[in-house]
Amino acid sequence: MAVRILFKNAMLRSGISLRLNSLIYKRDSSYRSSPIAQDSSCYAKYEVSSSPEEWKFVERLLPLTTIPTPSDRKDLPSGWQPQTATFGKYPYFVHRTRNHMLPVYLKVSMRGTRRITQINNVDGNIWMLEEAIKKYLMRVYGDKKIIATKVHEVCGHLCIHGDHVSRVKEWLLKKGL
Amino acid sequence: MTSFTNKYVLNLLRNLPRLSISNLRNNDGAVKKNKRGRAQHGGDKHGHGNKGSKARQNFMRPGYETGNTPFYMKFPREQYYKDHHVKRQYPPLSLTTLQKMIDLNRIDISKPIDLSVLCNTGLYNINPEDKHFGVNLIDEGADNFKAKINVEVQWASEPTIAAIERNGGVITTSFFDVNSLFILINPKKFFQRGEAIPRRMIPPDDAILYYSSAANRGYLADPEKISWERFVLAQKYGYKLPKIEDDPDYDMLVSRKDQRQIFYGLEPGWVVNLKDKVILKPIDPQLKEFYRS
Repeated sequence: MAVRILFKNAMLRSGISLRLNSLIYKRDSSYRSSPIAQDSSCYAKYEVSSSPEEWKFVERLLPLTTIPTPSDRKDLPSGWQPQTATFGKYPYFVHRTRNHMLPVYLKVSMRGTRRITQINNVDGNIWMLEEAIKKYLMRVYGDKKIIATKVHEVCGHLCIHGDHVSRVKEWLLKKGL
Repeated sequence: MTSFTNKYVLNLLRNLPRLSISNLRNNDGAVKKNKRGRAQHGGDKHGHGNKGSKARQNFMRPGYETGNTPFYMKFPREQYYKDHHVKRQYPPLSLTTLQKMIDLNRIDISKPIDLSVLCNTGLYNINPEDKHFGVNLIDEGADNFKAKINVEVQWASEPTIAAIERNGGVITTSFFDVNSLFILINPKKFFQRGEAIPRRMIPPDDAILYYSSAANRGYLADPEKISWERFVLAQKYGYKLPKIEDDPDYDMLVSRKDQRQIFYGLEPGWVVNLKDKVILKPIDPQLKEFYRS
């Protein structure tokens, strides 16, 4: 950079045209100042191949633009199950995520001391879903265990105190949700 | 002479004040002064100000003893995690997750699977800036793994290899240098740059043994030794090794990358033009020689 400024000053003193001076104001590693591609004869010789057989290898490297629809099979080795219940079968509905997964999450806070199970994407009557899940968990753990819940009706979130992720997922799959 | 001295001393004693509790004092140097307390508050706040939640509800890092030499630093010990920040890392991917990706059509098993396929799903990612050198396929969910795949990973354990070969699949462990990894994890971004595909570099000294071992299915190993090791592993884990030669997907299962190749079917030196959907290949013999070596 310093060399360039010196060079510029020397040229100004000697009175060289401004057109040359504009070339000196050049910032490296910039898109605008990068050299414009010249005629192909200036570069190494190459041949152009438009073979569809070779292009297949390029196409498989490009990522999918949308998430593919999964199969309807129920006996998949990974244990994943499709949503069989239709909207309207129950007064409530839990939509799958965009990756076709159950929207049940474990939220850990307070340095790992507070564990909350959160169900997202709840549609319809969320209070009935809360009641049904509470009833199921009471049956699993016994009446003595307190199942504290929190309902966010507007966002469609249902929070349950404690880690019941696998139980809730099991229940939702049994319902076909 | 003596009597005179005694007389003089006795006279002095008579005039001096009596020895009492009020004029007792220690010998010089008998009592050591306390050490100077360091820092603003004389070393009694331990860097946490004066009272309040910031002084009390703070959670110090494990092992920190507020200024004492921590217990874990008191004694010499074997440094298990020495140089962990410069070692090569292989973020894990379980066979359960891989099976789930296959079941949900996120991965097409009719084509060979490599790191770029895994990263293109958007469900797995590595960052070479964090010393990540590829995927470690771990054996979790090996019993439920049912897919027949041709997979190329950077690290694999013996049960993983067994789980894939039991289903008639093929696994290869191969090394990619950092420059090649950046290209492999996002091929579209690389093609858009309009640069020639570089050569893949050979592994460093401490990794060459792993990648040339047939037991690890290394990409530098002798193929005949690999087929022997496949048979040995089938005997060890007690499964019947499916014959690849009779498989309908034979071409897919035997497709492998060259030692210098980063992508399947695309050679180093080629430039991919995504806009015109053409591939530019160098014809200069010197350039060709360079990319082949």
